Amino acid sequence: MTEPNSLPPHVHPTVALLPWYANGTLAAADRAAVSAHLQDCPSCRTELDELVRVGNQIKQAVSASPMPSTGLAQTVFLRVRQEARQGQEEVRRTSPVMTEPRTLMANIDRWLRNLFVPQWAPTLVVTLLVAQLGVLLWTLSQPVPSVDVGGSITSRGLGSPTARLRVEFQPSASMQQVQTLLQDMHGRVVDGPNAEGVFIMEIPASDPAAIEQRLQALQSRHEVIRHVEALRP
Amino acid sequence: MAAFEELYRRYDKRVFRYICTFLHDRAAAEEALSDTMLAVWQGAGSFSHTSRISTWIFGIARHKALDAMRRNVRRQQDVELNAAADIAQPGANPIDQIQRDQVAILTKNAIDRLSHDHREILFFVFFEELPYEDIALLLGIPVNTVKTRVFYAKKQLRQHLSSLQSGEPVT
Repeated sequence: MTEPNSLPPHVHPTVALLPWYANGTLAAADRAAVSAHLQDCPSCRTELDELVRVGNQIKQAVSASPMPSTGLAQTVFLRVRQEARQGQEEVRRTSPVMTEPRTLMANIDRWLRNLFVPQWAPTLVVTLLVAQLGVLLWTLSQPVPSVDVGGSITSRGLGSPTARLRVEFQPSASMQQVQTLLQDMHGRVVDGPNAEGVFIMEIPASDPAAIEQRLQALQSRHEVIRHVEALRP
Repeated sequence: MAAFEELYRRYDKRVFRYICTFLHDRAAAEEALSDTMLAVWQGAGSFSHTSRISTWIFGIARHKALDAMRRNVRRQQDVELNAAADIAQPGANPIDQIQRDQVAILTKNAIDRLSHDHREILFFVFFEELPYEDIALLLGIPVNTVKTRVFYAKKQLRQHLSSLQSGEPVT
């Protein structure tokens, strides 16, 4: 074929898009541009009319062409079944220990199932994941409320003697869990958090043995405490 | 297997019509259809959703039809498909039907006189109604070539139709 790779100079460039304007597959922007051009261009309107007429003739002529024989489908299905059987036997021969051979039929079924999976599903999943991540980051960026309501550290006394601990709470720990822990330990938060999220906790303890006992008790609360250690006096 | 059968029934006529733009021999066209559908089944795992499934199947059909053309190039006889016998649609108004049949036969004869490239592109634009991007992908040619090819194909078809209508010999 030796035809040129461009339209003749006297033909409007819009003519190149008219076949797809006629078959309804033009993108919205192109479609709007062609519509606008057609308003003012009688020659392109004539060209479009002819395209529609020729298109209908082609449809009619192609529709009238013969169909495949009715027996052909059965012949193809038979060949496919035979190949599927051969594939299964091949898999059994080469993988005798497999209890559930991965057959060719399984492949086609998997593929055909994919055809009916909406293409937007992966996009939706990614969107949800991004949204979740956004919420998580927003939550983390919020100032961490101190254990004591009001944001300031209370100064109520515990009675003497006391010990101070460096405490890092689990990020997943709820306010309720932290409050319960403090009540259980008869402790209070006296400072924090610092940039690393560490709080200073004060608990009643009379001697080193009591401090160690309290520390062990706190360390066992994994759901609330990520790390705890005694502060040197 | 049921899924494949459904797929087959959804596409066999469309693919067969496309193959007939290459092959005028019914047996060869059926063989190419059969080869296409088997290849679809065998290659199912390799199909990626980067294109429409119809584009993928037509792409396979194109290869199979071209293979068949090459195989049959020596022994292929230009056996015309008996269009007239298949065009009749019982139940329609007889006079309208005759006129439609005549137009269809005339158009089919004009289409048959086109080059294969022209037949193929008119089929995709006007029968399959594919977007030009899909046609470019399927044929492996630039979008601009798709657009200009349709223009010249339609121009050629118009000339053939005029010649056939006036009874002039077609050149």
